[in-house]
Amino acid sequence: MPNIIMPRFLLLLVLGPAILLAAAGATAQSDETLIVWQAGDDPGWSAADLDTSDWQSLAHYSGAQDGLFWIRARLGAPALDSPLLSIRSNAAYEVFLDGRAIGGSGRPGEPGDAQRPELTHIGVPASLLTEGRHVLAFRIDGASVADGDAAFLRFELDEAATVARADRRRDAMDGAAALLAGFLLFTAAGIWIWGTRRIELIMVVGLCAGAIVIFLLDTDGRAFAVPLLPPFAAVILLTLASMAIYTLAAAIIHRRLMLGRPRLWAVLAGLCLVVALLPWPFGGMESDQQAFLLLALLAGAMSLSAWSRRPRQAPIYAAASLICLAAILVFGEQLRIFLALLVALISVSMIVDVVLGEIKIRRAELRASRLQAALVKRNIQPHFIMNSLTVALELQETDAAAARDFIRALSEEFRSLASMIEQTRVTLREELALCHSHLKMMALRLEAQLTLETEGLEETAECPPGLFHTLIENAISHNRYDGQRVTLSLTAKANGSGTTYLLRVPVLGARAASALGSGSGTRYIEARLEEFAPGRWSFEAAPDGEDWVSRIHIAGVGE
Amino acid sequence: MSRVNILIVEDEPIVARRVERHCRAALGEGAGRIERVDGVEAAVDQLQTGDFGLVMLDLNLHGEDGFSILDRMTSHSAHTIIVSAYADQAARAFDHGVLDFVTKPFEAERIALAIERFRGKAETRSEKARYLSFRNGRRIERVSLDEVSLVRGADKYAEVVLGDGRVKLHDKSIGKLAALMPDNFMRVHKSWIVRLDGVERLESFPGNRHELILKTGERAPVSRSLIGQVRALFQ
Repeated sequence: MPNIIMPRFLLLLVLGPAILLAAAGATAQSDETLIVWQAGDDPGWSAADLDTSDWQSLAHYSGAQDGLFWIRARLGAPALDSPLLSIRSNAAYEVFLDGRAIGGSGRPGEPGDAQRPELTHIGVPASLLTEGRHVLAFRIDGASVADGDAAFLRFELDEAATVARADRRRDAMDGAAALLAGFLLFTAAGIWIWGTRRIELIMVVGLCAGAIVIFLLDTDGRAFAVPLLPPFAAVILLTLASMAIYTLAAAIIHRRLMLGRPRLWAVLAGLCLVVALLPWPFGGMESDQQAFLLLALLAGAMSLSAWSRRPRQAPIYAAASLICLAAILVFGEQLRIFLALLVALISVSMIVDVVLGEIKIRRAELRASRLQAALVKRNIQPHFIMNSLTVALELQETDAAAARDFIRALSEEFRSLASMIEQTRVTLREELALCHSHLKMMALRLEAQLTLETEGLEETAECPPGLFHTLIENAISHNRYDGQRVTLSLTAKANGSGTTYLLRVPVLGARAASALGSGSGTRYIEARLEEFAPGRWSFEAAPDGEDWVSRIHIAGVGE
Repeated sequence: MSRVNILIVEDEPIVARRVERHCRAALGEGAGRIERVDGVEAAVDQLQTGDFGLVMLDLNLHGEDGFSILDRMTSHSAHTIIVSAYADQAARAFDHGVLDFVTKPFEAERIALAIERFRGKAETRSEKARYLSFRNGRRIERVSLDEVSLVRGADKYAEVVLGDGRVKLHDKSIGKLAALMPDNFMRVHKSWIVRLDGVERLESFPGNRHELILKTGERAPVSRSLIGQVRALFQ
């Protein structure tokens, strides 16, 4: 089927109309011996038996024509009952069949008559289009095309009924695809507005919007039939839509697969675009088909690159890339099938991701609840609470004043604890208050002198609740501080990467130093630090001389 | 009445004082020497050198899991009474052969009851031992009571005869072991405890002498005062 189409891909944005017109010629390479063109104007050029040996093939189409030019195409027409010629062009033209004018669009040759190109169906009298060879001649006015644009022309000859059926099928498919893209667009936008504000959702919105534009306006030049939309603007709109789909699809896949080296992949994507615009020696595909085929290959390469690090997602994306690749190769002419697949796959992937994200959030909430429960549990554990009550009973029976002091200290600790149970972060002032009240209560219980010295602490800085309290509690329960005078020290040092806290406690009669750095207390601290500063903390504990030193570094705090 | 020496193993000084105070009150004149230690090693040292009849043991000493040392305690001749905050661990503690389990916080009356049980003047708890722990040099060996066929008194120790014929010597007297044994064991004589399902028949001899013939071929004498209960069991 004769097919002269201007590829819109990257038009104006990257290369420019002249090169694109050369590429246009290349797209119709297989028909170049049947289709010839000539600049100028001569009413005799419509004649069926014109000698066109001095005309040029489309391979030598040299660029935008400012004035009138002609295109002639030789047809081998089948026997048709009701032939219908469908023509799409962005220029004013007249069309002749074997020298007889059969229709046109606009008034070529007349100044200031910029055309609004649209799909035109021209009924051809069956008597004129008998079975056999015919010549179609187009008189085209290059000046009628919008500035900066280049003329394109596309025509098909078929039975009227067949054309009508094809139109209906195409319209239904475009409508359904646009509806799907619209639904996904609003879903992604809704999630972004009311849910999680992830950049990928905006990318999906852009991708869907681009796809809708293509579905509704690209086919058969509908974009050029939109009132108040100049042809130049229509070209820009379609180009932007194609660009948006290409770049956003590549970016979304890159982000979803959590690949590194964004510049490398951006360069590769750009290279694919350039390669897509070059004439390919096989397939006769248009450059936008070539671009999306390369995009599918690029997505496949991304999947393979992420295979080991993203064992769940990478195979899905690899499979999707293969499906899209097959769609382009099988339905190359109907690029919207590929676009519909691309939109559906990426959007489904995003929705799955959002669902998984919700599950992750719920797990995080559950973990936070567990940590709250752990904080409470550690302080009402039998060993702590029952021993405290036993001490209270004994003091109440033997030393009423001491019993009052002890109960007051115990209450103070629980009050501090209660105020921070539901928090995920507290100020150091609050944390230190809890530590001091614990030390006071334990000093009474163990008949010891327990002191905490601090240095360099910014009391308004934040930390996870119960962080140092847990370490101090561990130190007391694993050492023999009863009856002793013990000083613990907590220092903070801020540096370029964050803040480092050092808690130094004396080791007195501990069964094994390692016991101080293991167990549920350590697990609690690690879980709280992860909740407080995900992936940005470190916690080490080791003996240092006569002491046991716990070192906590939190990046990005106190810089 | 002989005086009882008590070893209190507790890492909190005020709680240890409370245990001591209530033990003294419960034993009255029967209270002998009472030592307080705050760790396992000190407790083991004391048990090797001192003549203690009772150990009052906390199960959580400076963060250590008390069950890791429980077999070392129960292998000694002294009875062990747990004084712990972990009430949910009571059944497990009884499996190891402790005499009683006092949960914190406790009142004087509860310590008094534990002392009564120690002195055999009160019913022991329904939970009984499932294991016996034996000292073998520095090693502690735990044996399931399912393997035990009978126990013979041997002065202040007890010989524990296993089903496969091996004999193990336990530091506790037969009287103390009897207080720990489950219901499928019966003290049929002041020096004999037999496993009831291991008995083949009861034989009587002139002079009102009676013996239980065990399936292993062992013969265990039956006290005249207990023959009625034994006959009732086998009828």
